[in-house]
Amino acid sequence: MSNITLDPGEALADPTFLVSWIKKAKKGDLESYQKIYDAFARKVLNFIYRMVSSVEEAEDLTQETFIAVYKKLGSLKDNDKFEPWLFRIARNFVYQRYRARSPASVPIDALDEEGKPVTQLIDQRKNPDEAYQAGELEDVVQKEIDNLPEKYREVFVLSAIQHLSYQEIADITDRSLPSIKTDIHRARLEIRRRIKEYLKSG
Amino acid sequence: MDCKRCAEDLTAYLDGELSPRRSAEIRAHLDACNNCSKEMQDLADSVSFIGSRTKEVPLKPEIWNNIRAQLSTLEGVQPSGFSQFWLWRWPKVTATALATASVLALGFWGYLNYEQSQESLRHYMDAYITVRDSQLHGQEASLALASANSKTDNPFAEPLSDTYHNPFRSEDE
Repeated sequence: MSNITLDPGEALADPTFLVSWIKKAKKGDLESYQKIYDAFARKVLNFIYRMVSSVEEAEDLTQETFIAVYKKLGSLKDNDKFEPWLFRIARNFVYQRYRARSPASVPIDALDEEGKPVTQLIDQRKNPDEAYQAGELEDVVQKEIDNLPEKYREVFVLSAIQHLSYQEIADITDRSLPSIKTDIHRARLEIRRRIKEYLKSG
Repeated sequence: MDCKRCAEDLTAYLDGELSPRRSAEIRAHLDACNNCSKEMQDLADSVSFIGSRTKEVPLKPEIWNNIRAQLSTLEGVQPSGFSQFWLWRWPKVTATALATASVLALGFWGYLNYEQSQESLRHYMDAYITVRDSQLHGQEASLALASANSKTDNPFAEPLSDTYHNPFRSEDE
């Protein structure tokens, strides 16, 4: 386990720390890479979790992301843009996994007694009705995030939950700043409408 | 500013993503418009509500342990980068760069050679003219040409015999 416990905000308050860790990690210094991991891993894990809605999948993809990031670190030209670059790699893993786990690709032995696929992403999420009945607001919020159209969900998570700047989100998603701005606004309006509907119905 | 334009920018305003000038315009509109002000507050409340009710997944120590174990197998190997085998990672770029460098080097070498030849030729011609003119006045010209040849390393120069022979002049003259 990492014996360096840094609050991400605290660790990144001075960007020179991060740049110095990146430079050392590029030379193969795993201790410096561990510091980078400590600063960003929780953020990446939670971003992935909000995209795939499975803790197990999110942990698996976080692991893959940080292994890939280490291997590719030398190709990062601008050390100041590490965070968007990291999220971009995490995002690629998310979409690769989505494609690999499309419902049609679920093998027959991955079905449970009732014939429902056990590895399909959507089935690892809490049943929406159960969440509503249990009144678990956290699950309801997560469910409503899940139900957003893909392009809205991504920008909503990155802006409202991960608190990345619009420019960073544009870099991560490879989209223009005006389109990011429009979609973030629409995503906020949409999720507000859904949450309000839930609260009214409750 | 009308309410529609204000509403479109409210989220970016709350996120601090507008230019100072645009933010000031929105602020002025919010001060004057009760509806937009309420809408802004409602948006801010919903974001705050969602933010406070999002499940935070804790980071398990095993994740780093697994990463560390996998990366340890690469220990001693630097992360791939520009300095490591970059020549082979972008073969087209490398080939183009090498070709360009070769052409430039060849061109420069040719230019230097040309300049050197021109300089030698100039010296030789000066000496030749001196010889030609001097021959009319005396035998000391052969000594001048010998001296010029030794100074310019003229590649076309032939060893001088005791009696200077002008190649441009026939024996019959």
